[in-house]
Amino acid sequence: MSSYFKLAWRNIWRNKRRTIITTASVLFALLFALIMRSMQLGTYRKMTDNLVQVYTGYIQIHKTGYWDDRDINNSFDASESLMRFVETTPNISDVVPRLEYFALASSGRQTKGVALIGIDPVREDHFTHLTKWLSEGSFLKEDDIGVMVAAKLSRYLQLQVGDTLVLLGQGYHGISAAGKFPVRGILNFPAPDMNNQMVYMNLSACRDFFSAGENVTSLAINLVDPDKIDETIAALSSNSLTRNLEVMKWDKMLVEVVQYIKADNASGIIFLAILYLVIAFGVFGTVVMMTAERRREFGIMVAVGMQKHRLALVTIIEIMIVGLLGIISGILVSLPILSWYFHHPIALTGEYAATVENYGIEPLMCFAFQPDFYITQAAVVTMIVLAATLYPVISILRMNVIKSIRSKI
Amino acid sequence: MFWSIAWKNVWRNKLRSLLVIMAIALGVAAASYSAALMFGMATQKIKAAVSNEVSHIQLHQADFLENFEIRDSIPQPDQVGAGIAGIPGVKAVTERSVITGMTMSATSSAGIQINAINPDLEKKVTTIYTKISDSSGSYLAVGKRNQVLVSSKIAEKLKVRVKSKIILRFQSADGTIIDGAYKICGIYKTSNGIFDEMNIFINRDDLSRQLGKEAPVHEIAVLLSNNDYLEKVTGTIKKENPALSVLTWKQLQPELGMLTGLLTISLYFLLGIILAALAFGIVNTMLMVVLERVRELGMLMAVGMNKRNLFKMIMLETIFLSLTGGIVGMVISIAVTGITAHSGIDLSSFARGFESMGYDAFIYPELRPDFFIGTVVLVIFTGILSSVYPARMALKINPADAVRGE
Amino acid sequence: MEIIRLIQLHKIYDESGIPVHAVNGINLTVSEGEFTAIVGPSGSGKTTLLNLIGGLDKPTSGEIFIEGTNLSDLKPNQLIDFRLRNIGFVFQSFNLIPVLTAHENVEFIMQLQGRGREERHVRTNELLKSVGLEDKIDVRPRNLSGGQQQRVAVARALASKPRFILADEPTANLDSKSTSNLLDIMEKLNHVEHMTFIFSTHDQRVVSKAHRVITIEDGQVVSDVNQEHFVHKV
Repeated sequence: MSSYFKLAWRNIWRNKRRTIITTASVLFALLFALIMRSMQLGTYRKMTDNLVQVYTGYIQIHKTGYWDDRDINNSFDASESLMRFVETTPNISDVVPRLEYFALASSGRQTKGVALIGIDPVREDHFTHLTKWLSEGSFLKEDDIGVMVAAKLSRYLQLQVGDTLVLLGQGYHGISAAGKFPVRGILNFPAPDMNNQMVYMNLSACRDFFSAGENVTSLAINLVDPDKIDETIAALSSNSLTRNLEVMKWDKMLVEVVQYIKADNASGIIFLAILYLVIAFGVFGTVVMMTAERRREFGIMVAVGMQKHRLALVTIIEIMIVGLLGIISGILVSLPILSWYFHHPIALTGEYAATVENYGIEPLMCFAFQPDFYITQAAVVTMIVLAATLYPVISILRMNVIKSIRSKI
Repeated sequence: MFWSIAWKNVWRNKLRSLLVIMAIALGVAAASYSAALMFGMATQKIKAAVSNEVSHIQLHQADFLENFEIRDSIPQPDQVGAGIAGIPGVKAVTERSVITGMTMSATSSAGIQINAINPDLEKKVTTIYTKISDSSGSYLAVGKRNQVLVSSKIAEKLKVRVKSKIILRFQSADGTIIDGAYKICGIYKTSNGIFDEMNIFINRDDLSRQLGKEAPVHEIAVLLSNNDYLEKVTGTIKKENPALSVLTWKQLQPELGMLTGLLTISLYFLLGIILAALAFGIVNTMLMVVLERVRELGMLMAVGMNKRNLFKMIMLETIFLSLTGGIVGMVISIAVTGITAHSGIDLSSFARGFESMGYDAFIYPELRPDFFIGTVVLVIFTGILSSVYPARMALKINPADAVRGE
Repeated sequence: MEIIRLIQLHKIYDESGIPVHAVNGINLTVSEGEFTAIVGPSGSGKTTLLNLIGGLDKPTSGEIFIEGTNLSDLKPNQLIDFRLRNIGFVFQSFNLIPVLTAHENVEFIMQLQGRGREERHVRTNELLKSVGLEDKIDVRPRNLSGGQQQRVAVARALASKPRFILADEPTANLDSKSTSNLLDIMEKLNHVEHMTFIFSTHDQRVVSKAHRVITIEDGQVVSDVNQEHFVHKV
């Protein structure tokens, strides 16, 4: 076997330039594919991380049917036993209770619809780092009866820290809701829709406002190890305490993001398919020409006594070596590049950065650095190269020895 | 004169040339068709936005867009509107009152933007009246009182249907809260979920009645007969109405304005990558060509073909090879575009994601002449670049060594 | 009239570390109208000598004058141009561009020289006629016999109106009939047009037709005989 390798290896270097160029083409395609997939997968990860960790949480518990109909009447009582159960379920790092609903805010002459959300300030900040967005005033304290208002909203209502915000709405079971609340702080969010409508209040004050007893509309949950999410959901759902509740995974809550990722992912894969197809043709072309050129030589080798299938094997080894050289060099070149960018994501700038921030995502180009897409890409290229070997193998096996010796080359 | 030699040389080894040409054709066809799909998507999104949402140009009172205050209305709107209607290139003009408020049904409430319109005028400018399915009622009719047109998203949120009653609540200029009861005459649905979530339409006459006076006009929307008039008409309108804010759709929806530009850049980039991948194959092929013809090339140099001509000949051959592949590829993509442009491509499985971004689920691929030409240029450029190395190899040939008979 | 003068010409090759003294001190003159054979066994240096005369190779030492021009004074581009206008070549094989017809091959040289279309067309027809191939004008080399290809090569060499024609073993790949055919044509051209021919060969039949025979051995001239009076004139 080793003599086949020796023969194959020397044969490759007979036409040094062609070998190098073919290897380079595989390297190029693989390198580009790895970088592109790394960027795509890294970006998706960042997108979902930003939205999941900083807003929805990996899992949310609601009353069954709440997500499709986010009415205050679909809130539920987060009893102590439920809370204790959730908090002690393995893999859970944070749980925050929230009571969210629509209300009308008024200050003097302006009125506007707002999203009112009752939170536990300390836990919420730990979960979403809400204090990060505080631009004026101070963050809500426990038992505070004040509110924090989003920046653009506060400008519209012409409110400053210390002013009074009037809230009107329709509470639990249709009970009218009305109240006055001092503005404690202003939060400046990058996403305009949040900046336009969010009003934060203490959970207890919010419950009072909506006459909602001890209810919450959702429990948002963050995990220690996101990869074990399905097990955690199973654990949460299997308890009688959650019988009338829905334990929802983040991908059902961020459906549009998930769809966007699916679509972008698909387009990325299609592009790679085109790229690989092009390279495949290149490799195939080289192989065809090489076979044609060596027709006479092959004929002579079989004539002097080499078995056809052994000759075919040598050819396969030749082509595989060239392919593998390309793959290995492509992987080696990519390692330092991707590793660097994995640890140092590229900061986006300008208009593009602003657009991304509008969706609530950090303006960073993140790179993924994990074995799975490496293995996939390397496997695909290997398949292509292997497929290319079919041609010379078939050609050799079907070769007419005498005709080959007589051929013009 | 080298043109004909170069061209004929391409076909000397048919198998080899065909392999390279097919590879190039495939790469170019795939890239070109993908581009057509993406351009089609972008065009549709823009068309939808212009016909349903922002029109080509909108006028507002200078401060209106800041806070949408009801008192920031356009003075003498009818005059302004008439003035605009006369400008060449303008197809139709409409006036609206735009008020932010709340809507409430028996079960829930939602914050919305109330657009009080004149239905007949509005039909000339936006195509929302076509976005009502047969089973979802009808558009606002002049004469019928207290009708409201809501989107399917809002209807779902409020859990109402056609003929249901909802309350519209907003604050007038002096601070009074005004409630009005309206009956749903129809439910519309555009491809832009974000737009649908916020917009409902009522008759301006009803608003005037609620206010007790003529409803103020906050927004004048202008539809052009062709987007090409955009700059010119905007300039004219600005001149005639210096005190008002006059914005084009590109300014009203900057992301949309940038869309085509960004798309073109990224498509060229992707095309470049594919051509680079192809270049490897082209270089390899031409190297084989040169090495095979060492004696012939040596002979040519011996009889007096100088280095520049030799380089030119090889470069031309490479360009012809690449260009043939490129043209075949583009013919293929034209053909496929032609076939699929009628029926469109259905992407409903991804539909929800697309709609949230404002895209239609059906794509109609569209070829753009400038991208086409750009592709041809890039293919030629690839050919030129790929020819450098093989041509340099050729120039290194020593005629004496080459012609030394063996 | 002297057209070629070689002075103390030396050419040394380096063949994988071993120096080969291919041309070892040759002095020679060739005059207009000559029909000269350079003879010698393989490896004697005759091809090298021809290459030097044709400017395809640079001498290690010594000088080559063609019509007064010292080839060493010419820069590479000038050399190519010089060849184009002054020297005709006929090689042993691979003379023609495969994708061009006989007509186009002959025309090609004139196109390189920048001659006008009319002139090219007329002259091509004349030349092909003079080598007896007026009926093969639109045929590609692969459809011509070896002898016919060489004849087209001669026509092509003449096309540029050179001062002389160098032919390196022009008949080596031909059968005897084609060989004598080719030689007759070359002789006729020499006689009628006063075209100077210098050819290398080790074919006795060819040698017998030459007017002057220069014998080379180990890179040196060992004999230089004028046998014109022995040759049967056409």
